[in-house]
Amino acid sequence: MKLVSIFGILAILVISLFPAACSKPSESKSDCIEGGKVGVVCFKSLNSPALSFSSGTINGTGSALAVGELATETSSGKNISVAFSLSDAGSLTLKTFSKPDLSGGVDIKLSRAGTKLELKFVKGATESSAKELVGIDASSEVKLIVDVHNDEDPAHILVWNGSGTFALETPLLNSEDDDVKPSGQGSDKYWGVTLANAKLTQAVLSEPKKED
Amino acid sequence: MKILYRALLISFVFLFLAGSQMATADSGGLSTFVAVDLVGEAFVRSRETSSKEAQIRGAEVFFAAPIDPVFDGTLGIAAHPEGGVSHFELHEATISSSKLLPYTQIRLGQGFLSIGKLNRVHQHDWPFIEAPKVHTSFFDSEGVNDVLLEGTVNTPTELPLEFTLGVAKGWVYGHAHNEGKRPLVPTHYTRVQSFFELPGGGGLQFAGNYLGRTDSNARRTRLMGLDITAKWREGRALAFFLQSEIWLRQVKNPGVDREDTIGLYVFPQFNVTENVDFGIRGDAYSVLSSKDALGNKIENASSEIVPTVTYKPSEFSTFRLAYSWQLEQRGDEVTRVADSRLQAQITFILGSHPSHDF
Repeated sequence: MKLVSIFGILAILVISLFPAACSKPSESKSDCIEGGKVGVVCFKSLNSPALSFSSGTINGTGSALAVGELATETSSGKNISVAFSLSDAGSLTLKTFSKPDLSGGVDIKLSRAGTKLELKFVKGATESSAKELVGIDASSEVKLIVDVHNDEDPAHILVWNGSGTFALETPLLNSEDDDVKPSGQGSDKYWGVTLANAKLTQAVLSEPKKED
Repeated sequence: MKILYRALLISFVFLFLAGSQMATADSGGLSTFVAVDLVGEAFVRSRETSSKEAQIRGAEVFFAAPIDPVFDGTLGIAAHPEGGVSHFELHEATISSSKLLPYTQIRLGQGFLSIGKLNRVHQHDWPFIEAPKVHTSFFDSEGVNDVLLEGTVNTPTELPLEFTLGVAKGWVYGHAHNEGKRPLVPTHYTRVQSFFELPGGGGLQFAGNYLGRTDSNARRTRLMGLDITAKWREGRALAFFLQSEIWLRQVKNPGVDREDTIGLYVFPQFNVTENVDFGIRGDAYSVLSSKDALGNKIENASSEIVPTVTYKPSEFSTFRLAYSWQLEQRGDEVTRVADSRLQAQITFILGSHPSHDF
């Protein structure tokens, strides 16, 4: 019994030191080559010469890959807070839980039509029907808070207005209760954005707002 | 995989026909219990989450009885809060028999898969308040529950060996808000368990586990794990208790690299006074294959330390207090306390509770 007690205590100590034992820094390499940072998130341009990175923003038309993982595990959830502005008929697509080439993920396309902002889910060549995000003026800067729960099938998406007071129980969209929903799950854990005459000014990651 | 579904259906028909030949009119012996699990949190320090208000985490009603001389039946329903409202759901509805084949118990119906340690134990019977991350991530907040067909063989050998082989419907696995989709390969699992006595009146149960499935999107999941439970008694008191599980999960989506994750917990517990125990659980969890979009490996680890005090005046009530520290390390970040909170739990049981696993 004493031996097992000692084993138990030693195991606890080892486990508690587990992060410290693994905390030696990984080999650091420059992670903002061919791109730039939006906040603390480093993006890399994906063959997009019409995309510019300056002063903490991404502007123009093209795709940018976030260098860091969206989540440690593919079957998990994450929250992305974004701020962006769109030219008329412009769009910004959040590509979540995708492969490093930004394919195979849950794509959330936000398009401007006048002052209206519409949301669609895109998977390959397939697009869902569009839903207007009521109360959003697409002609000025838009702030959205987006939960992507990729541990459900299809992925469960919630979108809140990022301006004003955050109201958890009144999202602009809850794909679980809406006819507009993604057609599946993302296949990997990377993310990025595709802009069409758009400007991304904020991108912040956090844990999902809505616990399942 | 249609063959497996047909096998499930044929097995059900076989059990029904075999039993109907031996049924009698007298099927008394109904045992019933109700278990209530109340939890709450306070003094939460977290960047991401707030404290959970005190709530009835689970209220379970369970029935078990012989159906006839050949078959036994169970029915368990439980209420859990979701979105502030308690929803009842079916936890268990099984027909089983240990009389059809020698040394073999067959179980058919819906229930928690007989794999691992925590997954085979009702939540209100856990030796701690919240499940470790390896369990909530690899299984679910409570456990993997499905329509299943299971066979368990206890070999008549000097070294006790118990083999379990099971297959489950697998349309969903873990957390889901819909009925799911037919998998390419249903959930299948096996467990090999043994037991031996330890010096000083102790006993050790240990087991190896495997679970596999391929979902409708061709995502292949494999789980491999070991679990151990050790106990020493002094008189009627449980002087020392140890429970531990370690699991490796491999997930392979088509066209992407395989994701390997390891997780474990160790929970030793000592008896302090006649009705008071003190334990301290240590958890560790790491995604071994983590790398950024440029292919650079990302070192990562999360761990949790949970000292726990349990007051158990009888087998029918439990009062528990615990404090949880969650530590995280990722990439170049130094280890930090990501979350800490005080947790409290009260459970009570009304009626006749079935005997517990070792």
